[in-house]
Amino acid sequence: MPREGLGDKSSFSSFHPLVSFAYFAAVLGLGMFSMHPLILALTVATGAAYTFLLGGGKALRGALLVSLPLLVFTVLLNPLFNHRGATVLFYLNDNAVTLEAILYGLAAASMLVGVILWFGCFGRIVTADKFIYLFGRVLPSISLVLSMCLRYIPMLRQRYRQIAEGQRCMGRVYGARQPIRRLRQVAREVSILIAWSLESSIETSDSMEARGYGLPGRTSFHIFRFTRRDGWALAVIAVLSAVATAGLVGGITEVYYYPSVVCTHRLTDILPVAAAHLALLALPIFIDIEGERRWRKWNFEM
Amino acid sequence: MAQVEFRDVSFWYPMSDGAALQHVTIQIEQAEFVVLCGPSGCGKTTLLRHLKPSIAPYGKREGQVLYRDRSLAQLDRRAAAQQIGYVRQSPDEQIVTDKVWHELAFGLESLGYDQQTIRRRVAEMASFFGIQTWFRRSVSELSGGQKQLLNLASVMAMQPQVLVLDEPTSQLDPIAAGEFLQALRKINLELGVTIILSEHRLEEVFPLADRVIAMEDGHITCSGPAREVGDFLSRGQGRDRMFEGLPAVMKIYAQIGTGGMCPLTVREGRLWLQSLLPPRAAVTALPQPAESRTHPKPVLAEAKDVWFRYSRGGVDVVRGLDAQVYGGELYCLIGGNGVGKTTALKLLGGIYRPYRGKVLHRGTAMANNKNSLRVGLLPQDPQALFTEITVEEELFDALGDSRCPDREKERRIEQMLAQLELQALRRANPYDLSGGEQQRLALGKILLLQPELVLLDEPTKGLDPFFKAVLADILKGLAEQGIGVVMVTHDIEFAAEHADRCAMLFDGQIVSQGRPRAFFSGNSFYTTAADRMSRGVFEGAVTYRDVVELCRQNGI
Amino acid sequence: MQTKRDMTQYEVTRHKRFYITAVLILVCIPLTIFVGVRFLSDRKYMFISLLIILYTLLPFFMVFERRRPRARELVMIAVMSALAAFGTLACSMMIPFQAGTALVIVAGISMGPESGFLVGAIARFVCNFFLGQGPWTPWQMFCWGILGFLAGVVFNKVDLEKMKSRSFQIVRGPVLCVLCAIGAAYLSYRWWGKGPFLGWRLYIFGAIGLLVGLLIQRDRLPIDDLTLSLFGLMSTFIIYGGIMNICTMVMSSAIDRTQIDMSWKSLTALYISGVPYDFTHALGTAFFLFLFGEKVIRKIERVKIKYGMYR
Repeated sequence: MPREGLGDKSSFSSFHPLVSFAYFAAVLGLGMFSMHPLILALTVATGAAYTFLLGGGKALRGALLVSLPLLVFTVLLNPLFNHRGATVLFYLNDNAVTLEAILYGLAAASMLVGVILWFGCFGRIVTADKFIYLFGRVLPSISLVLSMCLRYIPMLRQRYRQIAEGQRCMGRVYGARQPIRRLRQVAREVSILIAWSLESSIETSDSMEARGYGLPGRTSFHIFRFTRRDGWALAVIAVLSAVATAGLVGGITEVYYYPSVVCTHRLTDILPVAAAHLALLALPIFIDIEGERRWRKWNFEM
Repeated sequence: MAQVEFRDVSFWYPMSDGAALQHVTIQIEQAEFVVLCGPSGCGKTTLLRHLKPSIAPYGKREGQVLYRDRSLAQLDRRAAAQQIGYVRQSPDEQIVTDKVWHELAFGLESLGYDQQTIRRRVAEMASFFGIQTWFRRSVSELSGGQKQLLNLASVMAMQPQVLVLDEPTSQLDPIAAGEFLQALRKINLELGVTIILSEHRLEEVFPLADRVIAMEDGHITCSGPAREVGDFLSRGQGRDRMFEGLPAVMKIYAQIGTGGMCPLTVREGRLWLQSLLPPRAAVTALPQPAESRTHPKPVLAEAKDVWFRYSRGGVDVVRGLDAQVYGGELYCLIGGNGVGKTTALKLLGGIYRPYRGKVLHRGTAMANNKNSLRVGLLPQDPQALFTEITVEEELFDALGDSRCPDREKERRIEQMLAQLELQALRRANPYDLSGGEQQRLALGKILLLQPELVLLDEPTKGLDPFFKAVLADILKGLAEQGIGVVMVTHDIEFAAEHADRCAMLFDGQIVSQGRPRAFFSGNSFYTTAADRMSRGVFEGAVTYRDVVELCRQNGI
Repeated sequence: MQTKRDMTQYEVTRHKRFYITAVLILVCIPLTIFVGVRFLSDRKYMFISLLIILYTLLPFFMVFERRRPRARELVMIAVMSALAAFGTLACSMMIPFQAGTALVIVAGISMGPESGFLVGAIARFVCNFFLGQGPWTPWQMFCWGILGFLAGVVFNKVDLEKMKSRSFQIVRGPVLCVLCAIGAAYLSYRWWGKGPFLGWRLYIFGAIGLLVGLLIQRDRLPIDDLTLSLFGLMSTFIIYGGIMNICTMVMSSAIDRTQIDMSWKSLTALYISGVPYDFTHALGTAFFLFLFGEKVIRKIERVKIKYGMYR
């Protein structure tokens, strides 16, 4: 596996956008509802593993850097303000700090971390062009704006560099010692960029109109194909998430944190649901690793 | 039945006195390749935009524009969008979406075709234009030439009957422009599409055209086969603004003024020249101008074994560059795309720092971002410098940081406006100026800072021959003041005519360098049309003036 | 003639948006909350809040689609969104401030509330493709959208000539309202409050004051550097900061239905911890609006006139 992660070379990202979208909707939806420690642990672990697989150690570190402050905040804050629970650990300013509150805080925090990790993977697999395709069906104009926006950003970057170089040559370089001037200079450069982009954008709209934009009955073209493989994947995702949802709705994975932590069902009852959930979570990891293995083998045979 | 017909069309823009078009009457037959030429501001764009109802200019109009004998205004929107394709100058601005495949399909989506049809049409177009290898790329990864080819292909995917192109190659380098024009020729020959093209680069389009239409001040001065129009433009009452833009071969023919058929291409020109002269010409070379040794020019900037790359893991863009720039000279860097010309320019100006080697300004190395030399950079797009709402304020902005009294500032701005011939436009918005005027304004802004070294990145891009001559005069004026001028250009003809020294870059280093005459006669492909035409007959005749002069000396 | 048609079209969209919004607010949101509370017990705030935020985004998008916008409008929105996204991405690398929020406000002023909302929402969405998507994306989209919307509602852009008036009389209303509101917040804090003053009261009272003030001066705020930066400062701090703090809280699931009292306290803590960040953000916005707000609005107006956005 490359050190930077698989990125868009991942086998899972080669599925039809609908499949990826359905998958992440299921995982994120279930992730936002499950408070059972086992499920939470599975979600966080697979989320971290998949983040690592897709984006390498750097991505994992980045995701943890975002979620860590939130995590600390929740774990610390909940027991400070929430004094329910049977097991009192100690008193702080006459307020009880309970084990249950800490555990609840931990559960809430790990749910958050899980969702953040999986959201990150979602962003890596469902890339902008897949979004544009998915929106294209329901919101064609918005998806076109999105596509145009993504087309403009690299152009703006290149133009901004040109502007900054020109300004630099006019002797307008300010270091950290002159913060106000530096700020003014950035504002000036941004203002040049705005005028330039706006004035030139009209040619884009002419080009759109010249190619018949605005005629009734516009269709939206895409290069994605829904194959049999996609159908199978969708079916597997549907079955697994149905089982997991059933467990959730049926209260099998229900947990009470107050007054003391109680799981309503025994571990053996939970196991089938948890297994389905795990299978769902591990599905893309499995697909990607299998894909990599096949590539290696194929390369070897070549 | 004419495909397109202008019947006595006149047009006035709102709030302007003069007519933009005056009594224009043209008939264009099916599958004709028509080239429209004329100085900028002569109404070419206005005329072309009349062919496309959705982007027709607003204003007062008289006369009729007909498409297949019916008024174009009555053509329904769908047919107009589909049957008349329109491609404009800028490769970047015309692209709407972020992916190549989406851009190709854009027009077809608007027309409401289904997935299958679009897939097939897009596949066809990609194969026809050789786009298939970059079909799935982002448009931001493409070169300018590829972008323009994509613009053409995405219009062609709609299968138009008429293709209208407004200076489509003006922003491209010569190689990409050549490829683009070849694609047009292929469309015209193989698909029978009518092509109406406006151009400044007549050297390459004249041989392609079935008919050339010359315009000036909103009316048509001449229309006919390329040879006739060339003849007209070079013989007309005095030589008009268009003469400088004609192919070198035609200019030489016109100046020598013997009979026979007017040559159009370098090949015809060679044959014609050889038929004119005896096998061994008496004078074959012009004397080299003596270098003025009285005032040894000072070295302003010097690069010593400079190496540069943009990022640590990247490839070297400049590899061991050695170059000197003297005060009071015009130094041209030429070379193909991506050989590191612009990077070399910015290294010389101290904008980039080399990771190995040294750049010396007046013999001293730079320290802490402080140049010992005032450097002015004219970016490729002059818009990169514009901050204000009027031309005057724009120039004021340049002096914003200086401490001199306001009256002194006003005096200098007045002087600059006069020097750039922009007095009449002082209240105009910089974005309302034409390309050439914008270029001059940007140059003026830089010159107000009194630079000692001026760097220009492709300053002749998109300029018509007249503006090029104006620019050359300004640059020569700068050199006379002792300012060092370095420019990066693809425009070989300009370099041959005006440069003091030329250097050819390849693979990040200078491979040859010298005075234009010696420099270009040493090249055999990468040289001017006049040189290619006279090679073997004359030596070192790199501009059309040289060839004419040599012919005269040989008694023709 | 042409303008008249556009006006009516504008009216129609407004009505449509009003009805759709009304349906969503009156039916869907309560239904979601009811279902959430009834069937999902007490800890699904992240999910419910995400749904609610999506409901508020939807009417804008749907009305925009129905209206079948012209190419020019699309391009303007795309350019402004790209600029706002780029302003955020690029500036965050060079200086502590970012120009994105200021650009969204500028877009709202010169392109109207509808487009202002879309520019904000789309810009944030695109921005997060580079910064990382997360459950916070819809919240941020909503916040930027609302800033653009509000700016479009309260500023007067008809009298371009009067732009440089800097008349304090008109600004006086909103400023006084906000000051009164903050005074009231302080009083209520003196009478009933515990803990530090810089908490949720500052946001809530500030928001009420700002809204009242802006409603009084609807469509009448002059476009000059001072008013712009004041508006930028207050709306960014109070509205963006206020909503994003709720988002942080909901995401960290700190609320517990049976413990509303307790969560008020955690909310206070959260808001206090948010003040420095929100203030930097607001200051940056005000700063950029002060420097180029008016100039950029003039430039946009020019582009609109030159290319016949009104035709």
